[in-house]
Amino acid sequence: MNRQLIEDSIRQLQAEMSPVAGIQLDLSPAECERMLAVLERHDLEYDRKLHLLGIYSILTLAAERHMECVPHHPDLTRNILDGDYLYSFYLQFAVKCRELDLVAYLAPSVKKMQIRRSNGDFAEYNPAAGIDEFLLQESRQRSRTSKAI
Amino acid sequence: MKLHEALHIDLNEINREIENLVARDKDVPKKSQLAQSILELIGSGGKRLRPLMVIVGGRFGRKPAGRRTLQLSAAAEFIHAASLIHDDIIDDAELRRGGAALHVKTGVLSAVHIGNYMSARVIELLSKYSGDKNRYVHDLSSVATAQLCLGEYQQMEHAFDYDLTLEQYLEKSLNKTAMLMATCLRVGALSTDSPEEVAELLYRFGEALGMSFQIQDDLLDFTQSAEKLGKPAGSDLRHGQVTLPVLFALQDPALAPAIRKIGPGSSEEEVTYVLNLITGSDALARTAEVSQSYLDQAAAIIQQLSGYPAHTDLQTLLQYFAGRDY
Repeated sequence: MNRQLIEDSIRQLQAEMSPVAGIQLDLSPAECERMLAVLERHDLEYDRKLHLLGIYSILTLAAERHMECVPHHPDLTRNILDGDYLYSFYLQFAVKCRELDLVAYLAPSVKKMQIRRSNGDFAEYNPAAGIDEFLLQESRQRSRTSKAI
Repeated sequence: MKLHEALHIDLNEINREIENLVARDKDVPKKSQLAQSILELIGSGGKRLRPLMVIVGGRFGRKPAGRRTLQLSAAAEFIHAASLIHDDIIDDAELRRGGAALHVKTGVLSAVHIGNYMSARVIELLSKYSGDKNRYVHDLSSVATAQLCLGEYQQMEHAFDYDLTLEQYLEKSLNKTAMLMATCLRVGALSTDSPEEVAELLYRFGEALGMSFQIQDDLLDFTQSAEKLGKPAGSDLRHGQVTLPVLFALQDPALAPAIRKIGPGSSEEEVTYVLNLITGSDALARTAEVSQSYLDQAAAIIQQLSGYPAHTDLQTLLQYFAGRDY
């Protein structure tokens, strides 16, 4: 099931991304595991799982590519462009999947991560934790609404 | 008269809004390197063309422009400035607007993330406009920025590629420059509730203007002094950017062999020799004609919007772009 989900998610992202960018989505199994564990904790439709795994993958990869931007790196230009493209594609993809509430929820933490990194603090960034919190909040709101009705 | 004066736009108000994006961010200490670097960069000049285009777009709506239009105009400049930070790293440029480029002051890794902060701050700010009908507020950060990156990829892919076609050159210019300008006018219009067809016409006007802007930029690399350009003249050729004057010059069998010899290892003398060849040919005049044809397209779109009093602002923009010499 998980393997299918990962493959479908990668296929969907590759279909949406411009071939001009030529980015390969090469997330490690450990990185995928973190998000898969979050998805298993919540009662979600398969399509939503695909979208959330996609959003997680894009954000993780964008942050990784920009961490590889060091002077004289042979792929410096490509790393900058890949990170830039992935951050803008993240928003495009989220708009298309109607996940703008998630974008709004994650925005402060993504921004704070950039502040920390600009300041030389390279602590790991894990978007799965933020997505988990968002899903919990969403589920609490839904349950409050259904009780009120 | 300066462009913002001709458009009756209070530039100080826009500049304050841009500065406040970082100065009023409670997550950024005022004296931090990040805050100081950004404030220095945005305070160092810039024509604010993109914010002005957002404001002009906002004059075509059914509602008066308010806070949202102003925030979008500041966002447009923030996104542009963030792209300049990353461009300077890619181009290994040490100077920006007469001062040291940001990455020279902070180091590359830090500068990359300062640019990222600016983009992330815009998304955070505009996320408060929720709901389907407000999705357009993200167009600057999503579609326009993605296209900008694609233009950069295309430029990288075709460095020193003297077989680049005219179509490929035009597509790269559209992605790299014109689409952001077009989006500025469009989101400005939608922020004041303009009809979709008006926003679309403004988008096409911005596209035509942006194409002319990029082509003139390519032309100025051959005709302007280093002092006025803020970078050495002939930089594009030296860095392998095959621009429109080069493409036209390549059509001349007498010039093509010398141009094709220019590569990453060419000497200053070789580059200067080819620069002089191109400047002495009809390539610059032909390039200027193409730029003018885009301005003519923009003028035709103004005619279609002549029922709106703000169409005169489009004429002002057009005149400014037509007379640009830096």
